[in-house]
Amino acid sequence: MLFNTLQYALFLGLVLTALKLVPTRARAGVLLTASVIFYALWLPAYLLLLAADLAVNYALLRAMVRSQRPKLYLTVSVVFTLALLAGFKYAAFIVEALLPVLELGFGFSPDVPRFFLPLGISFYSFQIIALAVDTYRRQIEPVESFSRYALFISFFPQLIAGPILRGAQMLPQLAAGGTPSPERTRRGLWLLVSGIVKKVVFADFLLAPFVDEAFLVPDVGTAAYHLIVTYSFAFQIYFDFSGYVDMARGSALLMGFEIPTNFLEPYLSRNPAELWRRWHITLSTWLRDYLYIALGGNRRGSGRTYVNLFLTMLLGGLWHGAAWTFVVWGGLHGLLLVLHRLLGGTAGDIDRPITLGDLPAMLLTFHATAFLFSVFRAPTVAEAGLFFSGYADLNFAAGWPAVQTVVIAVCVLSHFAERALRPRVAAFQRIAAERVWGPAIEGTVAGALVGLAYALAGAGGEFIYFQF
Amino acid sequence: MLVAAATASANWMFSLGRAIHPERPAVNLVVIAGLLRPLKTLNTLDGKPELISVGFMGDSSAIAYPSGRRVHQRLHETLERRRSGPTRYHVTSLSSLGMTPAGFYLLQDEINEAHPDIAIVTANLALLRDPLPRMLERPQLAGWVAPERWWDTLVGLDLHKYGVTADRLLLYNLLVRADLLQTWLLQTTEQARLGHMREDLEQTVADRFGFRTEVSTRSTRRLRLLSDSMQQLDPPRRNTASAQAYYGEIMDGLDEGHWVLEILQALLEDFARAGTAVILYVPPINVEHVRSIGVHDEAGLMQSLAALERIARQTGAEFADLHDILPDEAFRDTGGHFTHESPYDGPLIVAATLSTYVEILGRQIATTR
Repeated sequence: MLFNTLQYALFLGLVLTALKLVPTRARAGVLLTASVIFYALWLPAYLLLLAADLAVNYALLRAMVRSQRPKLYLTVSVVFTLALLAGFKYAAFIVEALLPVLELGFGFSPDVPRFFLPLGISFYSFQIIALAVDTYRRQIEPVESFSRYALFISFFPQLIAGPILRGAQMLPQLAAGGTPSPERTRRGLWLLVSGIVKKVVFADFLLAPFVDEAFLVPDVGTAAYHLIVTYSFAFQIYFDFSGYVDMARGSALLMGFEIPTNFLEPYLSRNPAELWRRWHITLSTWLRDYLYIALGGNRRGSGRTYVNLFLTMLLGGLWHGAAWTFVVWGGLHGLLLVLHRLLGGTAGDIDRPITLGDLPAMLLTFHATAFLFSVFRAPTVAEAGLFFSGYADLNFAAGWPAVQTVVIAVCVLSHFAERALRPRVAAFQRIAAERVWGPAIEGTVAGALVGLAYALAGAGGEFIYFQF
Repeated sequence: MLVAAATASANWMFSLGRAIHPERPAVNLVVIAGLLRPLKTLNTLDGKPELISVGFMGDSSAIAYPSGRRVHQRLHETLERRRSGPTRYHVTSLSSLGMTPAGFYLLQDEINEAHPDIAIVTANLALLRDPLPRMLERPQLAGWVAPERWWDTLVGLDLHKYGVTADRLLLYNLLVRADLLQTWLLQTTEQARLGHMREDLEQTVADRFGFRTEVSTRSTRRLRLLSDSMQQLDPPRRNTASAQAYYGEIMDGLDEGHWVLEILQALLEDFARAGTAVILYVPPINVEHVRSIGVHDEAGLMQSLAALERIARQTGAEFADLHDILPDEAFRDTGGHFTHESPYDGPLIVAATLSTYVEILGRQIATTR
């Protein structure tokens, strides 16, 4: 079920009503039931795989906690989870990649397996691994019941496309059954509105049609035209995914749960390291904590650090999908991080206010990110090459798509506005709550934005990150 | 106040959409509403003893011709012309562009209610694909699936490949059962109209201010797409890539496990249970052409056809394999659309062949009445 649909609005309304009606101790049960229904409402058959995955991993987790050899059970759990993920997601990619070798070397030509990718498997697999590793490292108390474990993994606002949660953040909240408050409700509603507008108005209406058409014949147009296409997809994927995350966080807040954000105006980053602390934050911290550090991190000399950085990003790219474009995208991001580190760079203080002097670094980082997203968007590496060949005329004087250039200007402004407003949102909301007309004005603005999104929803589609 | 603001905003956008894009766009629901009308006609025919009602369930291969020359119309004419006894035939088209057995499976309860005596079900070899192109999905049809078939729809068959998910099935059912079809249709149409707003705005900017870049790039892009599709081909219908896309899978050889064939089997079984006689019909494909461009694989094709025939036999349906009855000259493109002028009036030739099957079944039905 997509968050930007009427059916989700009805579903969320029913869940909130049920949570209101039951005593606190029964809230977890309601949430687990709702999460199961939410997952089954896409395709009931998916539920079997999720249930099997959870049952096996919970059994391994309990065995790990009781065992004298916990590492063995942790290894089995990680291998099992990754094997399922690989089987469903990468089997066809691996066989296709090996096909020439198998045919030429062994005269063997296997059928390419075609599995239907279970929804959210990339996200919940990472969450399962994180919980197992955190328990092994004794960073959290072991989960005592299967229902709590199942709810943690399947909590519906984040089940399909994250944010990837950690046990330390979420388990205590689940144990308390969530603590709704007027402040959380207000914040949650605004996040839902913000998410709907980002997804429906920006991603699906203003950006996606232009990008889709451009990539249909990727080399037509001047360099100027291609630049706007590049910017457009960079903003499309940002609004699409951050819109999803806003709606996920908003839904959770209405039920009394805080889940972490995934985005902090990533295109205002001043270097590649900062970018990954602002873009898909829960994935990059997962990769850091469970892959980069497991590979040795920066503890084994600078050469190994560079290799680890590169490998982490390469695998991070592959996590997005079984295609060479994602491998190239991840690998190039890895190279950027290595280069940045070679030049002595660090992420720096990401909370430091932006100054005019940061502008060149910001522009450079944004352009590197946006260009790499064009590789990410192209269906194949060859088509990505074709797209970049559109820059070959170096004609930035003509061919600016007039309407889309204005759209991009609006996107850039909205990004700066987000940065400027974020620290002030709480204050605005406090003022609105204190004034007599505050709630009416707030409600009117929110209602009008939702109405606008509804009217424009004809262009609507699935979230880009659902395919991962 | 909140609801009023939201409604006012949506209404304002809708009126803006209507002003900018006055044409009513074709949306899935319009297509579906178009299918519901002939079902009502079929319903009125039920119970007339001298009349055999025929529901023709096809796709563009049956209807992409001028009015009067479509396959069901040609079939009706042929049956009338050859009529010798009191039994008359009424052929109703339930065809729609891009309709597949999956679409008809979802509409099955409505079709059964209209109770045609004979159903002609099209198994277009070009549409037996996995995955089916997104534009051919009609998940809105799930709104007409009765609760008894929800389990099969969601679990037993791979209808998710047709865009049917449980949440859509429930919501669309709710809208249909609450008699909100017209409202749903209106809202969807207005939303689709707004979807066109962007293109129209670009044209306005181009016309008024002379910024022609977006508009001109779009026309260049469309010309390029067209020329790409014609590149290797002379004449244009000789398109290897599209032939491969249409027929590659059936030339590899399908079996009953293919998701579309499973749905087709379920559809025919439902007809058998409802007591409707069925002709499973394979429309002609341009065999000469696919052979000439190397897409043809006789063994694979025969395997696919044999699977279709087995499904027909198992469900008590007649199997009309017309895949090779037309020569190359009778096709106007790779997608299985026929020429409809002399010397090769494809729809007429197809209808004449099908009429024999209809008459055999018609005689059986008439004798049992």
